[in-house]
Amino acid sequence: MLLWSLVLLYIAGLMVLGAVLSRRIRGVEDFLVAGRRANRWMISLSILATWVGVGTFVGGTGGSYDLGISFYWIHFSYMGATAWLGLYVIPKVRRTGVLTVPQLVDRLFGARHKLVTLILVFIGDMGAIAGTILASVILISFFLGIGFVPALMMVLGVTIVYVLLGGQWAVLWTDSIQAVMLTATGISIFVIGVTKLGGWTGFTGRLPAEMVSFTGTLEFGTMAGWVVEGIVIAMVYHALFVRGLSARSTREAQLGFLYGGILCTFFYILPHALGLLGRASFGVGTEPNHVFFRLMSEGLPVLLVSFVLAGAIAGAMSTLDSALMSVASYLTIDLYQRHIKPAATQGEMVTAARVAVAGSAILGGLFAYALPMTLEVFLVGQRVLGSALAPVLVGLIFHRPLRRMPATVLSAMVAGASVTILFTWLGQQSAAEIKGIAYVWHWHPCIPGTAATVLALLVGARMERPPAQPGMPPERAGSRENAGR
Amino acid sequence: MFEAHCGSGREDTVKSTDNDLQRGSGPEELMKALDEARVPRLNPILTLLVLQLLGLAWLFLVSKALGG
Repeated sequence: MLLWSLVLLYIAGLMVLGAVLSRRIRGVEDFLVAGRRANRWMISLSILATWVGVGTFVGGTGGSYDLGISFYWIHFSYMGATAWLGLYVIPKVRRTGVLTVPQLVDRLFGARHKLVTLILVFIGDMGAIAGTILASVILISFFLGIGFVPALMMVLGVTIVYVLLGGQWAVLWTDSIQAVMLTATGISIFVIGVTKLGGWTGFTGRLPAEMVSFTGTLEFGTMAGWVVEGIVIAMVYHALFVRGLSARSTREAQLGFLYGGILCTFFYILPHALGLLGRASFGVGTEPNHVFFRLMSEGLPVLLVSFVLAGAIAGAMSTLDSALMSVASYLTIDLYQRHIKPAATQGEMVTAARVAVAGSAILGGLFAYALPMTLEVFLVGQRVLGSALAPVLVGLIFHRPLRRMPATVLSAMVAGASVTILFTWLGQQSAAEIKGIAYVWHWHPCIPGTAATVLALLVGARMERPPAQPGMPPERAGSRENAGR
Repeated sequence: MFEAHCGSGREDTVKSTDNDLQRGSGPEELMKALDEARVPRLNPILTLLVLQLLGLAWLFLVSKALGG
């Protein structure tokens, strides 16, 4: 009863916050990027909440229960890349005035390039949406003792309502609160667990040497693959771009990302520490994905379990709402306004964004419920997105001549995506999987995928002749669309 | 550091208007904006490396604290 009451109270709080913040929504920028008025603390805390979800706790705890503290190798590179993105890329994207990454590509090269970018980003975001929905539904149905469908309705209903009402403002505010709750949650479980084992010495004394080793039993190829994967995925994680565009100034964005990245680097050790706590508490034999649930449900007082559950739901919703706002931004700007109604009013744009939020949430829910096998496709999609787009985006930002080479850019994206998919498929055929990632000859698919994109950029840059008129890509020169601008 | 290298940043923020969103700007204006944006003078690759090493250093410290 106490469990239900606290969870319902938390959900009611989210709804009220959404309703209060809805008064700030006067135009599409208010809805999608919080009117570009967020401060550095909101940015940094929302970055923490976006990166840390239920999947982080379930997967991170399970992984470290299995492999030891060295499983942190899979996570740390995302955080450094996040801070880097804020320092070097976000200022440039902000300066252009665009609201989405596909919009940036569209303005440089036109609709064909935009479509490829849009597909890559959409698949990556749908992976985050469907995966987060599934993890939250499992968590809620486990602890509240309700079925899959009611739990699904609960997650979708609550998230859709507060995001629809408050837009990016609601996401930033709730994320900031949720980040604090998550931190308190993780630390509480760890401190109570260690105390029950007789303190620090009792805890560490129960861990085998390989569990606390810096590299554990990991091979070099595995660690290198995780690092590359983290860097390329973080560099094109669209929800992060939306955060950067929401800041009130470039400096606030840079500092928000720097603080957020550093905060995440330190915080992300928590799920891994919990994995070790699980190993010290339960020994071997527990299913890794159940370790976090066992730590929560066994031995903690009901009041604390309630807070922990609310914190875990908070984690799920903060990841979900960020992905939903990300999808809403490019569906509204790059599809609705660009192709369906170019003269749309602010009111129509906000309505379109709200429809996009609701539509993508429901679609993600359907994937999670009816087609769970698609989740794997979406998760692979994030690796494809990172490998194919990150080198291109960094190249466009820093290497001026590349901005006049549309054929090189398109072929690099296609090459990177194809090689990543090929290596994923080959890895699955050989059944060489480590923690859900398919390997071929110990090669993580992101390594050959990223290498293929970079190689295609280098070869294309030597072969493609830039247009005669500076700043005018050949395919757009003389086009009706270009003449109109 | 940021004041020195990037200014206050406020002047870097281009607020889109209805017209911007509807009309869009051409590739040349966009390229100019990309080049004009001010970022830290530190080498980007070196910065990325340092940020990654920060994560590894943290893992190393935790591993040592655990007895590794």
